[in-house]
Amino acid sequence: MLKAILWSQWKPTRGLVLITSIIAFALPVSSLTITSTLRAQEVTRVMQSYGALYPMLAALTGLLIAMAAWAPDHAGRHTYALSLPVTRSQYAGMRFIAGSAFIGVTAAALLVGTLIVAVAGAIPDGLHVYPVALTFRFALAAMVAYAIFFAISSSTSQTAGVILGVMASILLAQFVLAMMEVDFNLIEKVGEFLAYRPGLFSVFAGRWMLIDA
Amino acid sequence: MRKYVSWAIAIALFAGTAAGAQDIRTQERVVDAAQARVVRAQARVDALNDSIARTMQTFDSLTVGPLRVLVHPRFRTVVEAAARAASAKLVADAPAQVSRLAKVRLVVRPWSDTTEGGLVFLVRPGHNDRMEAYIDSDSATFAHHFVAIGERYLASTIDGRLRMWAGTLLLPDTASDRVWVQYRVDLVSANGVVARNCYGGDVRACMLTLGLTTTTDPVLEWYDAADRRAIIKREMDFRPHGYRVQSEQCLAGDDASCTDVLRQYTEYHRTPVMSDIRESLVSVALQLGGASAYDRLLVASGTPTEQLEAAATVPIDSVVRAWQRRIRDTRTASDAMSLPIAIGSLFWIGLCGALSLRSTRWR
Repeated sequence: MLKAILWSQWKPTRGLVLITSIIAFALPVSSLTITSTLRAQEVTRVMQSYGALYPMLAALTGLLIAMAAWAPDHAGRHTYALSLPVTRSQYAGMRFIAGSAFIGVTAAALLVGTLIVAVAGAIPDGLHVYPVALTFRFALAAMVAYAIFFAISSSTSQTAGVILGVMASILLAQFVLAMMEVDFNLIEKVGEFLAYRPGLFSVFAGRWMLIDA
Repeated sequence: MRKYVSWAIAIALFAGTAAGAQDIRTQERVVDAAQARVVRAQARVDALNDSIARTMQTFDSLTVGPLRVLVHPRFRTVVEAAARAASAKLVADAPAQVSRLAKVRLVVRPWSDTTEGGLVFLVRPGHNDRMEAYIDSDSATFAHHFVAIGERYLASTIDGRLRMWAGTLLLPDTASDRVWVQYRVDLVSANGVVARNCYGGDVRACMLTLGLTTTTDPVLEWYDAADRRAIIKREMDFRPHGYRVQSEQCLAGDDASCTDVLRQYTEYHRTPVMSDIRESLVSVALQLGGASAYDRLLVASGTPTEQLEAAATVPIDSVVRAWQRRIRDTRTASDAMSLPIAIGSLFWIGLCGALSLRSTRWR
């Protein structure tokens, strides 16, 4: 059954996978063409700039594949799923695994691109290439984004309401703290928790360096 | 003695200023001002004498190894433990020379009567090295300050030629791997081929790069024709009107023009790389020299090369080769991926995945 779901999910996803894979392949290769004439210090600076693009692509990949995973079910009002002799959790699990496999395709494209950079030999003396580490991080980041959006897409209106309620509560709490002149920035703390280790989005933060010292 | 010095300064001030005065009225004003300065200086001397006398009366005196500490009773307990830890570190750094610290006093007193901060400072003639601590600081903080002040005091006795060459106080602590990695990037990114050759393994090039061998013609010795052209090309963006004709001839392939123009840009004649990289060579010399290397460095004299050889107890070539290896081989973990990132991500993937399976309702 997983094979059938893989195939049914592949059809709405393949275009997105193709686009993200092309971008993932092109990113490291294009960075190599820019840095090929630069000195080590400048190369690390360019790589830092490029480093912002990898997490963005990872987030975009996760978002698109997660939305595509549920698109046919939403469009068909879940009749296909309800016709199958499986529980909802089994069905959602297979959808989750199928989407993860498609993220693997984009990650593989990135790996090929980064390996080309590594073997091209155009890296300045004193610097090193980290193709596997960067690709692994990309895959994890894309999976985190995918898991978040997959959970949101599969959730009920009630769950979406709970999430919105939590966000509104934080805003309200911050407003109350400000009214009471309490010197505590709750929104900043929540943001720090989410963005820094071990926060939900921490994998996206920090330096993404394909070439570094 | 202080009074005589104060008067001497006042007389010098008076004489120097009065000589420039144009008329009697101006001279009178100068004399008045000088007298006022003398009065203020004398008041400061009196206050200092009074302060020292009161400090000696009210402070506890501690002797821990080479450290002599005057401490306000409020800080005594924590400072005693700190002094023991600091003493151990300083003795390990420079077992023979650390006794020099007995000539000076570390003083720990409250910052003021109204705040709770503590102030650590070193007293020695003509010098006041101070660092802040706080009443709730633990002994590790005080120990850190004692070590820092003690090391700075010891390092200040290093032969001036080596300090001038390194451009910094030379402390026994070594740089972190991340700093070494940055040195490598600086070296391979240098404008001059000499630095890149140094990274490539050429010891003579390293001697030039590190300023251990002096050069009479940096334009020709540090840079090759491609470097010179690249520098001129870059400079033309910043100084489009400077040496325009020669610069254009340079870019057209005339290396003599490149050389002539580069001779005018003196900022390229100072050092082929940032001079703080030199500190790393001292660090390698100390490592090669073993436990008493810093002791030897503190009393060594001669050229920087001779002092480094004295510390390392090996010829400078060996020091430079060891430094080259360290520059080339030091690696830091990649920022691209780490175990905590992987574990954190897997946790969130698992959590979100589990939440998506949990719902029993079809939308």
